[in-house]
Amino acid sequence: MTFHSPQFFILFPCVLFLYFGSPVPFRNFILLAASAWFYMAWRPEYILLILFSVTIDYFVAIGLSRTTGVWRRPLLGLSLASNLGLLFFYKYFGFFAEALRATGLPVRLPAWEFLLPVGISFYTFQALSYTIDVYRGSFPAEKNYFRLMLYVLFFPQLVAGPIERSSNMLPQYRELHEFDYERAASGLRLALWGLVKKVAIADRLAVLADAIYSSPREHAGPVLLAGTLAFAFQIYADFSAYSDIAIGVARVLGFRLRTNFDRPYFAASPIEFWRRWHISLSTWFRDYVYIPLGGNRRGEGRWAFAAFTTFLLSGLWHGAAWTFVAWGAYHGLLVLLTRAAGMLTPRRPPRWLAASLTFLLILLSWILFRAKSAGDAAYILTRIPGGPGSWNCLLDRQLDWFLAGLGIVAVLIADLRGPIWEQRWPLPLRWAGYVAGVLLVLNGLGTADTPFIYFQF
Amino acid sequence: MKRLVSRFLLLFSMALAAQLPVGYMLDGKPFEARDHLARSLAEKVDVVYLGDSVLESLADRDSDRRDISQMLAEHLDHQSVALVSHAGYGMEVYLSFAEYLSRQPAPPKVLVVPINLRSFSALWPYSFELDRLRLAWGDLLGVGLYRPMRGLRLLPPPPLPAPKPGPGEEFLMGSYGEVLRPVHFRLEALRKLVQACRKAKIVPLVYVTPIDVVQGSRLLGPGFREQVARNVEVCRSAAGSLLDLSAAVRDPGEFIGYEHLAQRGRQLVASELAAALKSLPLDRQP
Repeated sequence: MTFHSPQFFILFPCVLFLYFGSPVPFRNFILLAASAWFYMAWRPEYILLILFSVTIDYFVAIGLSRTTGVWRRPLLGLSLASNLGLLFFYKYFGFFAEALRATGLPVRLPAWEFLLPVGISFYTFQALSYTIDVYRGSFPAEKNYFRLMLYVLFFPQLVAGPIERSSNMLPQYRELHEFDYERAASGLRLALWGLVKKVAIADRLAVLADAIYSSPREHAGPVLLAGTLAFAFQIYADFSAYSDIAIGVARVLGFRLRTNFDRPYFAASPIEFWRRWHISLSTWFRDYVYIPLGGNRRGEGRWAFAAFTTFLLSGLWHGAAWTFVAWGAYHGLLVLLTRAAGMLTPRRPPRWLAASLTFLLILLSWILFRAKSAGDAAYILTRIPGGPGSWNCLLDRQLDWFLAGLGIVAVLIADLRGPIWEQRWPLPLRWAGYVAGVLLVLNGLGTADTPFIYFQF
Repeated sequence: MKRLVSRFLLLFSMALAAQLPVGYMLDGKPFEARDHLARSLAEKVDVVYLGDSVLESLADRDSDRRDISQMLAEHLDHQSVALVSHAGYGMEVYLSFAEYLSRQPAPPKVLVVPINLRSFSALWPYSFELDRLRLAWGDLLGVGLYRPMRGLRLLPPPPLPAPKPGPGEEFLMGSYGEVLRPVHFRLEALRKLVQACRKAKIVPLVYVTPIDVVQGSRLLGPGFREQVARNVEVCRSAAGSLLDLSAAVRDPGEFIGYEHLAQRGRQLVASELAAALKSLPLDRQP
């Protein structure tokens, strides 16, 4: 089930009324049942993977809380192995088998093909953060199995984040949430904006980006650049839309999810970009990979290793393909070069110039992310400066490009003005905006039927 | 909670009111088939003839440029004929037209319904949801609510398109040679159409349009003709009775492709239909 499916438009009001209409002891169970329903609407049997993960993590955390001796590491190892093992098996096995075959080594792995469980990268990382936090002693083990289950399964952020932390979410499941009109209205406004971004902007941009990236060798250099620009804003509108809807829906129910995006395309350096883009993943990698690898406390060499490895793994997290590995490596290099440039020239360029340059560098990285193969990515990168080819994709769809441009401008204005800027509008204008938002969603639903991009991760 | 619900209902009502003109702006193009039908009904037309592109096609060499309905009208001395056709129309659209006719103060006496056997195959991925909604609900609601209804999947999903087949045997097999199951949704529409006509006292004249059975048998063997005949029987059991013209045109030269007809093919269909119409006990119908 997705946020822009008719089933969700039925499920959510039902959950809302049941949640606030039920006695407090039942409320978490209602959320748990709704979350299970939400996930099982796709492939019911895959919920067993989550149950397995949660059960292992529950007992590991209980064990960790009762053990101080030599068993702590093996217990953590059990959690890491089971969670990452599932992730590897379902997401990376085929990729590694293929890579192994390509090396020519006389090792044969079976050619298993599995349908990737939706959200496995997200809930695995969320579950892992819990056991690691308990291991580190920064969070106590949760004694209530169902509460831990809800922490992993909570439907607003289950399949595409934000990747939550136990310290933020688990205490909230103990809180009493009374219905609050202002909070609910603000959550619904955010969810509506998310739906508009997904249905009216991201899915429109997707049509243009897909048309170009499905056959890049047919298009002229500037068309490839336009396609990359369309994808850059498609992925931002799409993913931030999911986060907005998740945060909005959770807010209506009284829960506070973490911010996941903070105007990333206004970042003035690649390092700043990663503080603003998919924040819940960046901070996860910072806390559980980068810092344990040494962070910036052990000299420049160790820092470079830690930073580059973190970005490489982040690329691999996104997808089991060499293009994602290259994408991670590219970002790692950008961060390294930015730091080196900062050390060599202490004078900083004006912010507008730094932001423009950063955007250009990020734009190039999306080629690696979106291209179907490394060959396509290399071709696009070399042809963008002025390769020959057809201009038809731009000339034949002028209206589509114009509307896509309007969508991009709307996203940027909303970013500049902040999430509640419409609250300063006069009431009639504000309501006209809401009605327009509903109309955009109602008329755009089903025209493209594109799933959220991050579902594939 | 009451406040939220009341605000939500207010927003929903405003959006609904605004949706009607917005929908009209997006999809409010003229519905020529329905408008032509309405004009014909106002002139008290006797026979309404539904159809797909087979009804409209002409061969370059044809000296007679009339479509089948015009040829049919020539055969019928005292009865007027109105053709309502569009490329890709199928039985579910015909059902919507039949239901539309059944609601009219002066429905026609006869509704001629062709069955294109290809429309039961996966090579007919057309559904004309907007036309059907306009026929059922009128333009204001049909056009206005079409997109939200489609987005919220409140309309039946369009059939899944099949990969484009190769020419010759592959096309013939995919179009007409598959086994037709009685549970096919377009046969269900045919059953409902016959019922709707009977309820409105309109006589349904259902016939199977000719296909190039000779060429099909040549390319795929005699089993092709037998399978076509079996499929026609399945259609007959759904319609109650029908006129089988599937193998009526025996000259492959009279086909443009495998189902569209050149002049003599159209003339043959028109004369067969005229004979069938004349044999109908129309005078006993009100």
